[in-house]
Amino acid sequence: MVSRQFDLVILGWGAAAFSAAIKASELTSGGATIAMIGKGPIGGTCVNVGCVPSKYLLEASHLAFNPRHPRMPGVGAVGPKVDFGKVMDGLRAYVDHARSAKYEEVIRNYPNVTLIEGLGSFLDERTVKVEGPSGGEVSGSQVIIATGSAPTVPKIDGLKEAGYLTSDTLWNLNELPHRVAIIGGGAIGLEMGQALLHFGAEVTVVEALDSLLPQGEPEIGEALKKRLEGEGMRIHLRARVSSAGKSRDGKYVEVITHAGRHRFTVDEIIVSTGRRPNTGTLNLEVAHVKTDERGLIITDRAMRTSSPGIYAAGDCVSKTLFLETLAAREGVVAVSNMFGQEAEIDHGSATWAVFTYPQVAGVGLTEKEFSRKNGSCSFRTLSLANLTKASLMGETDGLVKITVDPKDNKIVGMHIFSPSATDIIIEGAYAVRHGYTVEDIIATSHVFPSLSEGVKLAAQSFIRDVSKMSCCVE
Amino acid sequence: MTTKNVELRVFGMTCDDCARTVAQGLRSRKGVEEAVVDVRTGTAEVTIEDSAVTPEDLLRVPIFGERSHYKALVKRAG
Ligand SMILES: Cc1cc2nc3c(=O)[nH]c(=O)nc-3n(C[C@H](O)[C@H](O)[C@H](O)COP(=O)(O)OP(=O)(O)OC[C@H]3O[C@@H](n4cnc5c(N)ncnc54)[C@H](O)[C@@H]3O)c2cc1C
Repeated sequence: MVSRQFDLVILGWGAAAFSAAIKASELTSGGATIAMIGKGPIGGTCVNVGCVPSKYLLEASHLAFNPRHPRMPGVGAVGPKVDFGKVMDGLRAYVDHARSAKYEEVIRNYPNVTLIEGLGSFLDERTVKVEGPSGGEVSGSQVIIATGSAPTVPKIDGLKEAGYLTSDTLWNLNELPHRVAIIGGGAIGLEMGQALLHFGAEVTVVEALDSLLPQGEPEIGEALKKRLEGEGMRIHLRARVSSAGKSRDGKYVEVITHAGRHRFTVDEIIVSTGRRPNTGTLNLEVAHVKTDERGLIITDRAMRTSSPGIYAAGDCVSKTLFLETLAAREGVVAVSNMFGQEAEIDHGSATWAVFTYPQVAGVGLTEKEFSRKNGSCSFRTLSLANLTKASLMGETDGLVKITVDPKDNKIVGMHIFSPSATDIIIEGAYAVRHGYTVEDIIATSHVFPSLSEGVKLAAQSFIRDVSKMSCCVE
Repeated sequence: MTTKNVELRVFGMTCDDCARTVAQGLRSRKGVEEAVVDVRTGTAEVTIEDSAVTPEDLLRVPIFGERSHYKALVKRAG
């Protein structure tokens, strides 16, 4: 079979693939011929079933919840009329709009990029077979693997028969399930759980580990748990779902906790126990591309795989943070190196977030990670009760934690639990990336009163007790 | 001394002068024995001294630098 020849073949058409295709097009002024092979809706996870619909649902849910729970004296509770079906119609319409505006229309401006629908697998290091409507073989002088990941579903007795949703299918809901079990209390489970809770569902989260968000600071996992439980979420830690099934009035879930085994009834089960890379059917062996024990592709910091001329980017890569932002950056790094421009991925200053309300965001090392590596560290935790803006808003549950290298006071990690944490964390990203010290933060003007001032107070708490400090002290 | 033939795909060339400029740029790299650049196919056939230069090193010659109009990737590494 004659294969179609391209300068660059990209497996996948999600965030990593798009950023790689656009970077290669820009570098060559549209001269590079690029094949982008993909399956399912264009744009991949983020726009279709990931960041975009989840953040839409969360925003809508907070609008429904917060007016019912005012936090300032004299402001009465009101219950906005919520039509969940219409919210979901709005969500799907927004996803369609975002996919069209940010992906379909964008790629039309790049006539050098050919979209080929189907699943690709390697025939050799440079040739890919495509199983799809147009089928055939495609060859590239260079190749990028950007096939992303998919939700995993644990083997639980009766779960399949009972039926369940994942982050791939939740967005098709039209009616609010009134009682929901969430298996897996990671970022995705907590976001979906709080969204449904805020719309009025009873939500129970079952998590195998002994804390929420163990990749972050334990104080934040603890504070978030308290907040969610305060809102009515039931959270079982160190717990395991042993079986599930259909019951007379819905579905049952059987959970084993330290207190024993118990059953509860729900209308819907949501599985959010993690994701696995879409690498199993790529036939990576013939291309000599090595993976780790989880099937994630091993790359260096230039995104080169073990096979010369083959790069990888995005959620299929062996790393610890799986984010749209990193996928996009890795696509750019891969292409830059392919064209001889040296670039390296910097996972150390990557920001991550959980879009609950209040939000969680982090960058750099936690206190424990730094101590483990260096034997000692210095950190301060600022309770938002000490921050004027937060306390006047009635939002004092949160905190800002800064970890510094005691040798030079340079900030090595920042973790925030606060409204707008996803915006404030950028200050931490600059600090970690550029090696700013706590003195740099203190000397930089912050608006008073603002939530971002929490970062400055956390920095000041390295030099004085801020709980006894006037808000005018610099 | 072993030599290797490397084929580069070169972008940004519009005329024979471009091809000459790119060829000169490649030849200026130590370890490049010969460079034949074809503006019509947008390729460069480069003979390199194996021990002195790698195919990827060719992409880092100043003629393909960040500010340059010309860019290249490795089409065939030998
Ligand atoms: C519910 C949820 C919420 C999220 N929220 C956020 C957030 O708020 N912020 C954030 O930064 N990140 C978030 N993420 C993570 C983010 O969505 C991913 O990190 C990002 O989309 C990964 O992009 P990618 O290009 O690597 O993979 P994908 O976008 O998954 O793209 C891979 C593409 O490859 C295709 N494919 C698979 N196998 C093959 C094959 N053999 N041949 C051809 N094509 C193939 C797939 O169908 C898909 O289209 C979220 C994820 C989820 C699930």
